[in-house]
Amino acid sequence: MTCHELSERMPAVARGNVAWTVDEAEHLSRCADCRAEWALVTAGAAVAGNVKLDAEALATKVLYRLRTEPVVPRRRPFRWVVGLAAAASVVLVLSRGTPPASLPRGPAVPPLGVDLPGLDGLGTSELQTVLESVETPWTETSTADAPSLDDLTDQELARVARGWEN
Amino acid sequence: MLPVTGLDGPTDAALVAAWQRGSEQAATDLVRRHASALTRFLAGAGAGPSEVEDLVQEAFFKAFRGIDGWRRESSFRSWLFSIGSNLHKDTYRRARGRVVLSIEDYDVADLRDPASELVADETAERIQAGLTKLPRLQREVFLLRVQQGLDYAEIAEALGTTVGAARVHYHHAIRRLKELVP
Repeated sequence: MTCHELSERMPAVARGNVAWTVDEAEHLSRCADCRAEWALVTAGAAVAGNVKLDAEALATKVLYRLRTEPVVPRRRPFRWVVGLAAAASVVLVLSRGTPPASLPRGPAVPPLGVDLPGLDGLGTSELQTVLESVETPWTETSTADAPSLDDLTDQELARVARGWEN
Repeated sequence: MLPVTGLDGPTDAALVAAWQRGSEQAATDLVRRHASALTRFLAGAGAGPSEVEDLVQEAFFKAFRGIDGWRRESSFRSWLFSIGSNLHKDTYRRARGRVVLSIEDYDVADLRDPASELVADETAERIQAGLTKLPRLQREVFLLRVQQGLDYAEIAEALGTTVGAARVHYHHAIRRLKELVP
């Protein structure tokens, strides 16, 4: 028998639900700390024991209120904000999640990293001609269907190599 | 299936079910059964004499109005105590800084039972005074365990805490009261 075990049993014994066993009673008789706690628990059970309420009158008042007071729907503050935020999130995901069907996706073009000093000397009409040749639709300049170097014959490969060297 | 009757008549669950079907008698029976315990608990927890009746009435009103919120796995009494405890907490917050009344203040109220004056327990009054110096949870755990006889699971349910925390609060309350109540 330990003080803790005795402590756990005290409320039930104080309320008369159970009685001390012989071991418990013996522990209580020789343990001053447990006796002090036992005094607290027995007196604590009587706290506010003289405070009474007329239960019949109380029931009448409660029932009267239940009959007469309207049921107010439980308000959840800022609930509309949560709904609005959820709707906005859905719109955002739908608008950004899939690309527009009208915009075709082309191959990524690396930025031009070289100067073209030759263009400086061109006149307006010549520049226009160059721009027109550049501004052809991407589908026409796509390399998707163009033969790769693997598809070229030896002679064609030699010609390409000579062009690079020049 | 929950039992419908116990030693003291219909069980709380049966009365609640009857109230849900519209029986005002069932609601009256529930008030009769639990009003005294809730009143003592709130008075012990520090509610003033002018507050106790209002708090108890409001607790029952809220309980019956929100009866669908009672989960059958906890006892009706511990659920009722949780409503009462929250109402008392809200009242105390609104009157921040007010000193909690001791039991002597009930002398001026109509709530006093003359017969019980004859057996007034001086130690209980000293404990009541000591309880006012404890943190709210320690005070309420002590009362629910010692005054009301609830087990730790019911206390945890009533006060919205865990069984382990309720046990710790109880032992802290006991240790502190030993110091405060010579």
